[in-house]
Amino acid sequence: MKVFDYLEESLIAFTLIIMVVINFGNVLSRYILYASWSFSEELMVILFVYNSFLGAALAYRRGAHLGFTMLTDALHGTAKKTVVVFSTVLSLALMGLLAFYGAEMVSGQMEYSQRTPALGLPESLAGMAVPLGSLLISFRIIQACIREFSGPHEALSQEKRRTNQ
Amino acid sequence: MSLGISLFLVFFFLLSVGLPISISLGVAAVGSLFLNGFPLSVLPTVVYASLGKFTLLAIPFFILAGVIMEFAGISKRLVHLANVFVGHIEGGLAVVTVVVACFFAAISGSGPATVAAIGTILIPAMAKSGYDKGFAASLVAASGNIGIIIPPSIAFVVFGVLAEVSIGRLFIAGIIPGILLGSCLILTSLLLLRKQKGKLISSKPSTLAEKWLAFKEAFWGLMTPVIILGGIYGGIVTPTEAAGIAVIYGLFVGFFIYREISMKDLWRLLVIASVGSATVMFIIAFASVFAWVLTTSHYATDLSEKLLLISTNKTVILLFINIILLVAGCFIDAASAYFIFLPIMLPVMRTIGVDPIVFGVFMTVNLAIGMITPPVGLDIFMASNISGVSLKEISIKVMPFILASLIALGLVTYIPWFSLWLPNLMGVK
Repeated sequence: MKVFDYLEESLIAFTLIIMVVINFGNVLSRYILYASWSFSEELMVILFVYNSFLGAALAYRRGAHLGFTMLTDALHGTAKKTVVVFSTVLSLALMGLLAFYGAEMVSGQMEYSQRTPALGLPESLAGMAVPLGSLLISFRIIQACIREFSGPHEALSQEKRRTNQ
Repeated sequence: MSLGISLFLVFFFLLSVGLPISISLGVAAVGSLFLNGFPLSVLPTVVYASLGKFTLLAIPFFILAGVIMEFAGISKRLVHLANVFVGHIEGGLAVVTVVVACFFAAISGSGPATVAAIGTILIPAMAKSGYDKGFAASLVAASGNIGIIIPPSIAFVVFGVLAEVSIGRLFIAGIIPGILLGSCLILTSLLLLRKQKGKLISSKPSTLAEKWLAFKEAFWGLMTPVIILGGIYGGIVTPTEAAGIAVIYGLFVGFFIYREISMKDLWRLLVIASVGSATVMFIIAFASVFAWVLTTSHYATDLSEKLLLISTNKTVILLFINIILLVAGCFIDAASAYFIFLPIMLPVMRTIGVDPIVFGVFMTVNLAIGMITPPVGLDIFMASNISGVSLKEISIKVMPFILASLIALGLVTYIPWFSLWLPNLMGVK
């Protein structure tokens, strides 16, 4: 599990730093070599979509998703559990639909072997972020629900709170 | 009741039972896709298209730049510089807070990032000098709002993408309204502090040598807005590219000049910034599906027409729109508000003849106020987190600052000059 979490965080950091480097490289190349990198936008956008899905999953782990919890915080016992189950089921349903139709989208992209315009990468490689990301997020949603049930969780550490920006 | 309004009601119901904003938007939108007989296969396509926009890369870049500037010690030096200049006057630290917020706003594009960067230093400093800690935390929270009004601004990037107006022009349009908001906050805090005259400890006036030293130390931080805005308006880079350059600049200063961050920190900062960006992007993904339903199903046109039926008077319509946004802003964040309200309100603005740039500015000032209103206010959450002052206390003590911000909102809404003068003067398209 620890290894899995570490891998997730590493991928997140990696995608973002690569985006930064490509962006800088492209600007430099345009002004020094008078040549833009044709692939830069395309590659950055693909990394960005992966970064967003991975980050959204990690945000579940850190309780960083934004919402209105004043009412549910006031609940206890069965009422609280009902609300938690209700929101978990709805969240999973939404992510499930996104994963299912996302997989359909990817299989369509593979069937017609669509390629990205600049790099010629299979379009499905980019599209894959949707179903894979949705499954990962679903997994984190279930984890968050279990955490909620296993009693009062430890106060979020300062480090975790800081990420909530 | 029209289906359009029920879409909003379902969304607010889900929000009230504790679902995240993103999921609430998604579930309401998918339900309505289903009821309208749209194929659900549009879901992944809309989600992918909304995330895969190059311009929106400005979001992770500006968030990362803000986090780096804070950890690299840039904000610390800016606070010191401001303190050396105005710290000795009565209530000086309150003035320092707002001035540094204005300045930090020109580096960072996000409200909570501004609150975190200046609050971690200034709230303890004010508490030590005899200020009420609740007052300090509230002022910092309210000042954080300037972060999304003075360029660069993540909020303007999102508005620009959705309303298809020039982000460069929006950026410049935000400068004077941001300073106006800052002035309102300074006046309010000086009024509030009047009663405590003599009880506050002010620092001794600093010597010229100290001022010079503080300036020299803060120089690299002071250069950041020059690089970002100069890059954009010199026609060298796009706003999105400038955001990425700000990251490189922050890393350069942090690694080589101030030497306050290491390779290991960088890893952690990348993760922190990614999570911050992803929470916004996750909302944007589902807000796009919501907006797609609104526009494709004609709900948006129906609701726009309803808005125009309220009155034929421009002043009344603008007031009404501001009230809707203020109420919504109490519960949802700025990004989702743009997605769900722009399809409805933008056509209204066209009909009553409001420049979309002016609309962008006052809508942003309005939604910024939403960040300091309970129950969901990102800036007061952050201020409470970093100061240890309870959310309840901040929610009460922030009221005078909300009032001050409302005055600024009124001025920006009804006097287009504040937004348009500078971009017209500079000839920014």
